[in-house]
Amino acid sequence: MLTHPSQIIAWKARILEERPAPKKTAVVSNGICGRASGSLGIIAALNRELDRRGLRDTVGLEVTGCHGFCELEPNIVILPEGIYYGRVKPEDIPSIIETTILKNKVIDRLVYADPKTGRRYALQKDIPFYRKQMRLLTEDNLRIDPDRIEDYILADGYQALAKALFDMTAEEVIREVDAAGLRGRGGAGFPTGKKWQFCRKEIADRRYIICNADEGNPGTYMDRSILVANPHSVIEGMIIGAYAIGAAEGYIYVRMEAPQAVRQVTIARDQARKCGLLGRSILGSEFHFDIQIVEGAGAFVCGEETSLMASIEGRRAVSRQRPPFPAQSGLWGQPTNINNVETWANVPLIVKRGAEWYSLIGTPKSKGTKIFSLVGKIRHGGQVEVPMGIKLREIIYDIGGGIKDGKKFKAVQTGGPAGGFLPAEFLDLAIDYDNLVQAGSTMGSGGMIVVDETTCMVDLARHYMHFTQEESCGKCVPCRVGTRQMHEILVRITRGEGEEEDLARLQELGESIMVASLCGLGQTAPNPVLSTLRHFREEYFEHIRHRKCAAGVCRELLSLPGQDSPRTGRKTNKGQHD
Amino acid sequence: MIKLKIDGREIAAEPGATVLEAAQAYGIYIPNLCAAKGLTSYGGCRLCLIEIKGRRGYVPACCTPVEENLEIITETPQLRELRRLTLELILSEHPHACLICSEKENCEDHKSTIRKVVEPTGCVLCPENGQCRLQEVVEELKVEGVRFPASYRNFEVLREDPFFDRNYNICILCARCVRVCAEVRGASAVTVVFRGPQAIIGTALDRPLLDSGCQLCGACVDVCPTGALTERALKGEGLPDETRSTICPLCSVGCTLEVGLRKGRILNSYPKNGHPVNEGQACVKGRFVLRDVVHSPKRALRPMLRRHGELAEVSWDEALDAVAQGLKAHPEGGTAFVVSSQMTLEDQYVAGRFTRSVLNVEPVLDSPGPSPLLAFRKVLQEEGISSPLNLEVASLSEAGFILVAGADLTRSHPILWVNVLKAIQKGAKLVAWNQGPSPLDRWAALSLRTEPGYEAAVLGYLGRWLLERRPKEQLASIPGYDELKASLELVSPAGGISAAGLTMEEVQSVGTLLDEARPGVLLCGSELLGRPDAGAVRMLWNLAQLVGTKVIPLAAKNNERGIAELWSSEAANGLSVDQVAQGIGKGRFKSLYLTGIFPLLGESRPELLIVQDCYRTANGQLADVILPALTWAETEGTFINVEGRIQKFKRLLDPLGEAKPDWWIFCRLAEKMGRKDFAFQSPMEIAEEISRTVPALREASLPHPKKGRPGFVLEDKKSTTRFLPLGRPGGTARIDSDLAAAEVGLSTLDTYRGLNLCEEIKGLRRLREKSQLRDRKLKG
Amino acid sequence: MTGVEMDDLLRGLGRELKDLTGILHKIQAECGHISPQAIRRVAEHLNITENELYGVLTFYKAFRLRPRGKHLVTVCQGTSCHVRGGAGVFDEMKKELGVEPGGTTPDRMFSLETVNCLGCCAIGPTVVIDGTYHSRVSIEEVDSLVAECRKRK
Repeated sequence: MLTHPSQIIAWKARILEERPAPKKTAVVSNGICGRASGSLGIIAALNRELDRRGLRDTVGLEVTGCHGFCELEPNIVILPEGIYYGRVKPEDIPSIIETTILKNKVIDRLVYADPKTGRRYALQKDIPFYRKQMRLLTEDNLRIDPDRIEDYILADGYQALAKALFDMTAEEVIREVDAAGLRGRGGAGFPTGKKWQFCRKEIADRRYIICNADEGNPGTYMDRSILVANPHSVIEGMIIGAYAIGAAEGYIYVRMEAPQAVRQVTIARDQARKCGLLGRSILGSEFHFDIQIVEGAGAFVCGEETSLMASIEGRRAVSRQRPPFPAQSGLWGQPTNINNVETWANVPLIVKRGAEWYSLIGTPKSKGTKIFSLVGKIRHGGQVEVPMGIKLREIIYDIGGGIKDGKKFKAVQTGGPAGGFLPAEFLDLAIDYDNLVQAGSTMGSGGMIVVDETTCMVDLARHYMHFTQEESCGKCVPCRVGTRQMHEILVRITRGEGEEEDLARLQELGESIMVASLCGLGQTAPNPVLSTLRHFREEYFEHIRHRKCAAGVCRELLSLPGQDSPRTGRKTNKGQHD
Repeated sequence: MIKLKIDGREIAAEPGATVLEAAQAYGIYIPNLCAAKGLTSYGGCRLCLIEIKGRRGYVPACCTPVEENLEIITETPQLRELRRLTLELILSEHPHACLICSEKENCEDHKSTIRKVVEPTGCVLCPENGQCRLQEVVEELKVEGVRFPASYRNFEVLREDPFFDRNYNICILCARCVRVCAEVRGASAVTVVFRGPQAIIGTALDRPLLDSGCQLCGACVDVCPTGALTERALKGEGLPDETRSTICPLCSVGCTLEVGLRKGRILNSYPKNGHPVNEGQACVKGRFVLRDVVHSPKRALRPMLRRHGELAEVSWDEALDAVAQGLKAHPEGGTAFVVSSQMTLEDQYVAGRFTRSVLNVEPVLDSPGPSPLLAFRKVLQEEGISSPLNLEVASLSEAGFILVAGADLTRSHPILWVNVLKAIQKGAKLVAWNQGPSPLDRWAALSLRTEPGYEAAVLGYLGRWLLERRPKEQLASIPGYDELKASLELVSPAGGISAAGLTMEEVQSVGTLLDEARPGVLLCGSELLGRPDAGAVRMLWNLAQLVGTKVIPLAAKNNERGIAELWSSEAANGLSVDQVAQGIGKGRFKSLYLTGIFPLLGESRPELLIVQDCYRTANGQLADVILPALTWAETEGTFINVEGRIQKFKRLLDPLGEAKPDWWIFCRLAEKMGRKDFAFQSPMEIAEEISRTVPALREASLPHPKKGRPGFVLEDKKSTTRFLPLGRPGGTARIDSDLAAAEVGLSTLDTYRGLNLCEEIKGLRRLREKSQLRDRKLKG
Repeated sequence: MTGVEMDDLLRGLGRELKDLTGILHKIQAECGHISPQAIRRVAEHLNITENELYGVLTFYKAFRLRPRGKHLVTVCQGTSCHVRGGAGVFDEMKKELGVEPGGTTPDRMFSLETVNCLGCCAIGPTVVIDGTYHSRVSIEEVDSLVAECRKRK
């Protein structure tokens, strides 16, 4: 039980002392993708082998959260060298132990090889996927077993909290976060320091903070990965934020479709309570704060602030008109501050290393790093953390390795159902909040879904509208009824029943829904459709006029006479992008 | 007042008003469908979007509070287009063929609306045609086409509940019904279910409304802007050709209702916003049963006389002669005269004069159990205390503490409940003290259940606890304090409390609430006030003096207060109905004159039985003379409601058959018996005399409320503050409260004169059966 | 679940409205769905009407009103899974099981559900069967995945 800030550093020293440093350690990535790829089998095999060979005392086995290179999971990193083996199978374990751990030799076939040059990279830090990243938030994932708070302490965890509570006033913390230029990572990109200030200055006897871990955007999973890999970073950020804002109660709202995240953050919260980092008199200060964890129940709209608060209150999670904003009237009418997981995770970093240092990273208006879910038709899919301002091309090609299966880049979708598409002409765009908006899309929570020529943009637009229809709360007419009309038009087009006027109809409907809807879900739902209309109009014409789906996706069209069947000869569309 | 501009016009608005309300107050039209007076803002239909100068985007006027110097623009070409598109989206889910049909005008001229179609597929088949708010908006926005393909939900029309149908195929999901049911009535019988395109209004597991806690008050029907909720009374008959106002006679709240008439017959009745007392709300009785009350096939329409063992129709003269002769033949005091508490004030006044001065007997009030109001009054009058009873219903919503004892307000006085709910929503604490469970329990800070007969003891424990808590100096100056203290000290706690069915914690909780939550009001039914030993009344009074709250006895009948004022100058209110029935059995009464409810006469019946009623009752079948009386709807008069408000109503329709007003019958009878001083020609004259002779009712003759302010019973605003000595405790005689009424039909809540509403109206019967079933289930 | 078991479950749980979704999750974890009896008991426990409870519970996709089959098959409908061939996998699964999403096979062996994003976006299409995640699922694998399930007890 910690009752004084100085005890944090003392604890770290003690852990270092007590922990023997084994010669070699196998670190297994056991996050969401890891498990889905079979990491549990790898862990079992490692345990078996280490026991069988009596190597427990000399070889360590660590289980962590996501390492980021999801495409290659399950993966093992052998420390201290940092040798990275990907797509490991349980059968590989004996030879890994024999060859690499005991005999210090690298197994080539398990090492990453550049698909173009064939060059192999044995060390994780050299792999191109990692080289261009700036893994400020995610680097520690390699060293933290999320079941052990000690690992977080070793990584200098909770030192920022000690500094904030005892060396800074609440206003100073807000000023620091503001000076750092942190903007909300959930999608709106609102300056975090200013948001905290709005909440703090409301006169009330109670304030709340919320961590929005609903992460409903399909294709994004970095928030839950943070919660699985390094949950304490979020908790620490929340405690600092609560201190700055003046809140005694916080909520973490986690989507139920991420059970591992729910489990890990609950374990971490319980550990924090036990250590005196949550609850009354934190670290012996006069500050009291505790966190409740609430599970979602399958509603994307709960990512919207007013809907999220209604869900926590136990009501139907429909949105309500804003103003009043949550900072003025939120949970149970009290001032409430809501931030995204990644936003909270940035806070300890900023407090520990200072706003000046933080504001050197990124662009003038978008500071710090951003974690992107680089997925879709990308060769190397995974979680990439890069400084704001990096070029899209670097992300797609240098980090992501280009398009998989030898296909060509068609576009990248950013911002999820609220965002738009960036075709090849935007590859040299420097990624930050404002550039993306100007380019007709949004940052969103950080999804980057890459598509190639086998993706039909009309079908994708229909997919997004279908999503909206499933997730609309149903309260306001434009979203409930309007997106259904848009969806039906798109369905018709994908079935070969499209009409010339449909494009104008979609445009008119889309623009009206954006202006008339009650909340962000409806206001942004037409974006993907309007974006495809802008950048991929020819595909629509092809579907409508020629009843053709060049990507080979719209089945009803493919069965019509005169169509190319999929996977055999394809006419290239004029104006297609490379 | 807040100053802002709308379309360049200077507007002054109340703080807290929305831009929509401010605009409406000035007659500026902003289309809207989901906003409704008295309900929280919703912002779902998006028709009321407006622009604020200097701010981006559009905001709904219904959700935007007024601010100083705001500049609102309600009309731009873009807004108009946006509204039209939004309305067309709404229409795409709502059968709209008629709305955009080019033959619309011709159709209206030549074809009348067929309102009895179960599933309307267009306006011309919809019962709401001509009074539909969606239609109004379509006309205002001049929508002439719907550019979107139509979709029809294809739900079954729900007809399983009494009085109104639910057709969710034409629902536009404005959620007004959900909001009024939750926010104004506190019933939450319907909700929005599912979400997105599947969202629709419904109940848990699609149960009928009767199984979902619905009280059939009709608030949802009134607030629905389309024909999704429509009352069956209007189907098949067309719209009313005129509407008149009336005061509902079916409980002591006395709601003002608008009554739709067609060809001189009542079609339907509904509340209207802005009326005093009920403010746009009603209950199942006022909303749905008035027609059947007035036009019941059981109406007594012709005087009848028994000749040779058979009842035969006769003229009024013959009937009245027979009555006069019969009454003269009996010795003084040999007649029992039962007065209905549902007659008008004028009828009751004449009845009182008639019985006392012509028959020389005290009239008997027709309530089977003790009237809470009269019982309360009697005890206090005996002690020489006048307690002000007037209470404006709206003031209930300002209370900080409310005790409801011995009444399920949601059934007995729904409009009082609506106001109590308002108070609770503002933070007031409710204590529900009833013999059985009720919908009040959900809202109560505390639900008390005590053993019947121990009411006085319970009040005593409370009193003692409060007495000990209060500093002696505060109370010692009130006369009677020492005696009270002494009596209460004899009240033994602990064992006594548990015998009463109470715990010490409950006593303390109620006591604390009583003491701290202000202002308080105690609403009491007959369970508490009707005990023969009156111990509960005394202690209740003392409690009220201890904490400075008001006791309001819950009069059950529409003119019980009138009776209380008319008879308050008399010593007592004579015998009870039970005593009369017993007396008849013993042969004490030779004749019985019934104008109200009376238990069915059995073997021993009086020699002369006169029944004066609007209906052919069971006792009427045994009568020697039947005198047909008019219902309130066919005459005019005055009711005094539970507030003490003197309410006047005018005739709704011409008298049916040969029935006559009660007062007229008494006057003619008096004349037949040789009296010249019953020469009243109209209720107005009677009201004049009342205002002259009864000091408290001086305002009884004020003109109709439309022209002047309403009159109230005049009373001494200050009441005597004095503690009453406690009577001897005892008497565990069980009182059948309205709440614990044993069987459906015997409940005195649902009668009008000789008509048992539950027997007559199936829908009401089903509703009452449902509540009793639910209460019984909850009880055990 | 018997009434007594339900009472035991509810006993330790909060009684405020905000505890509603947590309670429903617990009940569904125990019973597989939310029965009418559960609706009644939870409404009583929280002092709300059954209608209000029903309105909240039907809002969310997570809560089932009907019992589910022995095996739960969840197919991810996220965008990344979709562009990586998820639509085909989904159609194949529907064909293989013979039910629409939300439905249960007549022999009560399988229930099919969809979810909008499981978080395995880089390695989709993803299907979860009885809690086990299967990634990079191809159309061809679908029938063997289902068959394997049938074999398990």
